[in-house]
Amino acid sequence: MMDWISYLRAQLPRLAADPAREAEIVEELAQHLADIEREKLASGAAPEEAQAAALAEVSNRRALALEILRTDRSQPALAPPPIDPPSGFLVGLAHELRYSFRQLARIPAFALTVIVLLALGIGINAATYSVVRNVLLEPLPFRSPEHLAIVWWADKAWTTAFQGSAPVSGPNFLDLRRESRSFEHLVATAPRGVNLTGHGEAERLQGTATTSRLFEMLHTQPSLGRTFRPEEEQPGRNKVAVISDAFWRNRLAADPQILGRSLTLNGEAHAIVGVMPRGFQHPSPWTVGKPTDVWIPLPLDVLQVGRDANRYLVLGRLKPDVSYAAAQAEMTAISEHLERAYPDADNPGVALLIPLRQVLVGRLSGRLWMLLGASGLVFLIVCANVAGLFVARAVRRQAEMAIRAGLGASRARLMRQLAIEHLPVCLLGGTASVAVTVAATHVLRALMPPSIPRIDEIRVDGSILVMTLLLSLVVALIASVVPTLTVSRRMFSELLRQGRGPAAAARGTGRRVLVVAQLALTLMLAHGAALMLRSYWTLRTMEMGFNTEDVLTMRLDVSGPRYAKPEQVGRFFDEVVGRVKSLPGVTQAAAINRLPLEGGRNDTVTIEGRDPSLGRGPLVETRVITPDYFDAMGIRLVSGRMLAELDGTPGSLPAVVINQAMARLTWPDASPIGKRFRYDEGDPWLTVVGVVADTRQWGIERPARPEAYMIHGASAFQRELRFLVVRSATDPAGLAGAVRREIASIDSSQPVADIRTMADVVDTAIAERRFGTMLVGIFAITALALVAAGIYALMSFFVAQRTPEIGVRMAFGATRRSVLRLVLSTALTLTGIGTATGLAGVLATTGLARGLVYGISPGDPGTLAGGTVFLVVIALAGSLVPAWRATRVDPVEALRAE
Amino acid sequence: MLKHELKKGSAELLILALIEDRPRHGYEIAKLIESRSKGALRFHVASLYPTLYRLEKRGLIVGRWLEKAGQRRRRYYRLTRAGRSLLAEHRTSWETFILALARVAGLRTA
Repeated sequence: MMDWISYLRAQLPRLAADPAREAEIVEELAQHLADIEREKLASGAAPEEAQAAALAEVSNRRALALEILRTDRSQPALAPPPIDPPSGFLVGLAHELRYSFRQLARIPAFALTVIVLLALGIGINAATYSVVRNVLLEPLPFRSPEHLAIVWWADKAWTTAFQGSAPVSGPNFLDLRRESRSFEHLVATAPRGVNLTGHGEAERLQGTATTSRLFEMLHTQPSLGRTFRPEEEQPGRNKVAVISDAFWRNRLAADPQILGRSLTLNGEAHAIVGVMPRGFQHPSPWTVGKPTDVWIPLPLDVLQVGRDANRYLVLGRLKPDVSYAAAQAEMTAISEHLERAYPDADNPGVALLIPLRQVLVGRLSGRLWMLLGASGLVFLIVCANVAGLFVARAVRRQAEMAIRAGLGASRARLMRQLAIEHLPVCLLGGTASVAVTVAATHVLRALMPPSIPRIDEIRVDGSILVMTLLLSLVVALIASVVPTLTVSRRMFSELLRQGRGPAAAARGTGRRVLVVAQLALTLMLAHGAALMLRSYWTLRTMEMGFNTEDVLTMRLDVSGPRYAKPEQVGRFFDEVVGRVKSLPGVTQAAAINRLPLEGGRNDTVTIEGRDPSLGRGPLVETRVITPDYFDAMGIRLVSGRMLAELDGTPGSLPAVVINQAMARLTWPDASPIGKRFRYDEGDPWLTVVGVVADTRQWGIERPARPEAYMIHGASAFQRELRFLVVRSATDPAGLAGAVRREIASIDSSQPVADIRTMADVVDTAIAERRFGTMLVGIFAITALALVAAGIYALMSFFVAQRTPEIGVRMAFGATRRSVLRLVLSTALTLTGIGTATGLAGVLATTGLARGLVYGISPGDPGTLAGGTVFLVVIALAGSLVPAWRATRVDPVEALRAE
Repeated sequence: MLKHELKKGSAELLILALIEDRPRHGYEIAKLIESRSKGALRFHVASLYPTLYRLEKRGLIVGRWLEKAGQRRRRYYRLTRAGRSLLAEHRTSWETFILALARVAGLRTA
């Protein structure tokens, strides 16, 4: 037998880098040759023959050596970082991060897509969160804001517009202030329309009348001069004013010598004693969106009148060591004492203490949280989308994964590596999202209706930025866990098909789960958006009870010494109305004290014939009008007759027209015509002569409240006439100039403000809902686009993966149509599962949505069905192109590729 | 003799299949291929061992020196889990392919 080892050692070129390995190979080959030789000998061949047979096996020694050497040298496509880091955790980390950045630079399209997705997803969320946080959660920007509270007068027997509470009457406030020991300060405020004259054109300013301690209560020093002194609450000493920074800069040219200058307010000179710092506004639910220009003292003589007239917003600061419970107990005790002391006041109630922040923003909390929830859904959808992209990429890198696994990496190790790899692109996305956050916050601030409080406080600060960083880490984590769950299982049973396309065997389960999750979340979001849209539409197209197209309104706060008596105000409006009626283009004109939808002015009345032991009658919105108001506003008469000029003259029967709500509430079983009621004992009985259609008073969503209209001439209420209502034959807004000129020609010192059409009024009333609907709509559209893209990507992958199978099917005679069916049915199955999950999610959360929708049930089947169908359509749209591509598969090519 | 390309594509399948039941050394594998195919397939050293080494480098098979009683040590190869999985894959793919071929080209099979 030949010594094959020596022979091979001599004859073969180098086989391996490592000499030990080379020796092994030589030994192995030698044994093979020896076996051949032995076998030949055993079957009877001659030794030379046997040797020749063995030699024939290695005839081309160079080629053999080359092959073996090449195998020895072969490396995977990219050198991955060592499995065991050279030294220490941080060095390994840096190593892997560098590798990740190198990887990223190779695939700019992928990296860019992920960065854009993350920037949008995180940015929108952070912006929404900054709104929610600054409006709802942040304490008010005053010292110790948790001690600031509002005192409401809770009417014992009847609920009123503000959830059973009303502002406080002057005398009650004075008694509370005198007797309470729980407060550092108690302050009464009231908005005052203030007419500024003598400074160019007459102008109406936003004013607030307040008792002297308002600014001390808020711990805010003026930037110039001083604030009010207690003695300035005395009548005669109260002709002073404190102005806002904005008013000082915009209207008074930031005059440094402003202190001591005089402003003519409502015909009386007021000396400016102080200027408040920039941005200061006293926090009040009544001045949201209408910042105060000038504060004037609320004099004692005004406060001392009318124990049953609840008209002042009372703010208070609790003493630091007094709890709300203790203060409330004291308030209750004082209220009871007042009731006993003044049994004839006819205003039974109890003083309620409510934290100021709650009053300001409490009504919005449900809606804002929902908005945050919706944006959270978008974030999750973005996460799922990005995770899907990462999985797709990981699948292509299975070769490398498998090698690492083969070389001993554990699944946790691989997860860690993936997480670190995803970190750079996620952090880049997080950085980009900062820009989106800032921009989106700006946009939100600009678009938010001014009725939402604290808009100026919305800003992007450090904690928001930290949040964006955290969110990008969360995405990196989620997007790393999902691919490793699928890939790592596969990698031990999977093979690298060098040079082949996406691993044919990867089932794509992880990606399917992600797409199903996206579908479910999108359905929830789309359903929410549809609900909001329908609610908005219901409100938008609802019968308002008045004409929205042709009516112009203006606000005239009449003031000054010429209008001290109520009837002087009434005559002024009569003259204005008369003149305006004769203008070309004007069909009708009238005046009223309050416009529909903009709040009310209500009083408790006593119904004739009602058992007095039942308590006082309903709370009725009181409206004082000129005769043609219903015609001008387009309010329909339901029964009886309208009010006429005659009803206003002294000596005539005091007549009143009520609305349907009052008729239904007070006289449900009989016609109200001819029935009577009155305000206070001693007031004349008012006779109902007509019923008109309901119009809403407290915004657009609260149903109409009982309302009574009377001609201004008949009552002292006529001092409250404030709004001019003009019906036009053509474009109402075009009449504004002409009407103003008429008014100026009667009395140029009465400024005209708030020139709006009734369409504008409705618009303002619906602005908040429109804003919310728009936002949720944007979220839903984003989600739909993402889910369509996600399905498109998944279906493309599916088709690519199954191309050989499709080729085989077509070779067996499958038609293009059946291939189309195959792809679409897969998409439909996924959509079905996703939709079903989404429906479950919707049904689980209907309770949450109940307070947020209007005129529709959150589980409305029609909307759900519509949303489902729409989602299915979107999903199919996303599958169309891949499906079409599938039908274009050439069977021969497909099989050859395999 | 079978065309070179066909042989090359199936080399992996053959090797993996033969060590499915128990580990074998190189000569054993070569002999089995020849005998079971009734002489239709033959692998020379030049094609067998490089393939074995490649498979080993890819983690599909693993080779160990074993010394049996009274004999010199030999290098035995066995399947890894990855190799086992790939073998199943290969089988499926080839079966599908062959079936398709049969239908299309009208072959008779055993």
